Amino acid sequence: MILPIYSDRNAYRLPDYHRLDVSVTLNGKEKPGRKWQHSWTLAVYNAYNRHNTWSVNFVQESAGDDPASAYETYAEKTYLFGIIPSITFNFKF
Amino acid sequence: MSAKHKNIIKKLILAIMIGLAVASCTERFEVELDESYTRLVVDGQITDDGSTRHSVTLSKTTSYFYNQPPPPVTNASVTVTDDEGVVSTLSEEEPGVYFLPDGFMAEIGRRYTLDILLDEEIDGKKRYTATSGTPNINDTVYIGLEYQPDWGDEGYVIVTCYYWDTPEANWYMFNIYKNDTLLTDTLTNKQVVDDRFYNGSFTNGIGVGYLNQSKKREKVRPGDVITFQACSITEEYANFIWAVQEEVGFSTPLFSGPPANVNGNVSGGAVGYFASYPVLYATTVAE
Repeated sequence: MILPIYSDRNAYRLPDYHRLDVSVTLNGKEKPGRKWQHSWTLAVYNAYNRHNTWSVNFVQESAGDDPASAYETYAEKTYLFGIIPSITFNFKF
Repeated sequence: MSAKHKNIIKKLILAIMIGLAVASCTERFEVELDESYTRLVVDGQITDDGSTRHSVTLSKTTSYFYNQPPPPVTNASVTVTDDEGVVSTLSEEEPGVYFLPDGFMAEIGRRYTLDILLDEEIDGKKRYTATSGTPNINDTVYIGLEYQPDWGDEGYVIVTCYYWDTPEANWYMFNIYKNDTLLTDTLTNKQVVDDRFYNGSFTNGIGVGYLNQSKKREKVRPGDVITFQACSITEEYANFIWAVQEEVGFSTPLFSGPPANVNGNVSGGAVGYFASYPVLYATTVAE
């Protein structure tokens, strides 16, 4: 069993959060006489697929009966969204 | 909207939900933790059972990701003194494990003081002490075994306890042995209770141990000898074990309280606990 000894509050920070979202909108050609316009939007959320940390857990794991390796501790992060491509069709009239 | 379109939309929503569920996940990662200063770790229990050997284990704290057994603290001089001034000297038989003399028995109502004089300083100190009272306990306890088939995959065997509780407020720690193997071998799987529901009266079969029959270690077969140990511990020791269980146990970010360091009873900034308590045994053979 491993018992943590904590430091002071707010002594640590989660890893930096950053991401890149890219989108491009392609406008449809306007045609005389047509009463509506349309466009397509192609977007990529989190373009370089960074696993931004949402929360961190410290996990203890029993690793068999060998007393020398009886416990292993590691940090585990939960992240929400990797790269998400999307496509949108817009129209107005 | 036609049925075909509805079907497509349903499938789309399902695909998006599965996609989101798969997209959020966990992974191991490296986190840099600063080293705190090293502290002495004390783990010692003495009981009124003269047939077992009592020991005090001394070790040092390590960094969180050390992932090896903690380094023992060797060559310390360790004594236990009762409130009449009788001194028992402990001898180091394994690195960091100091044994009381054979036949040592703590007595109910006495206070015991553990004195540790280290060979080398830890955190700038060589001398550490801890004291513990020894609460009262009645002289007999009986147990039974009940099979509860509805819990878990293969049911549970419940160890039930029959005991006349003593009149004052008590805190108990329960241990279960199967064929002389201690099943409750870490603080996190010991059961600790107070006597608020049966203070001074008969316990009449309360559950004191729950053996999961789908676990090989806890599986009870006919002929197995189940031994129950009731330890009458102090309120401070009960609070210590509860705090340990809370810190090590499962926690969720939203619903658990903020983490906190567990306080022991050793002076001078050491962590851990020195406890003195009387014990009762009851044994039954599974049918």
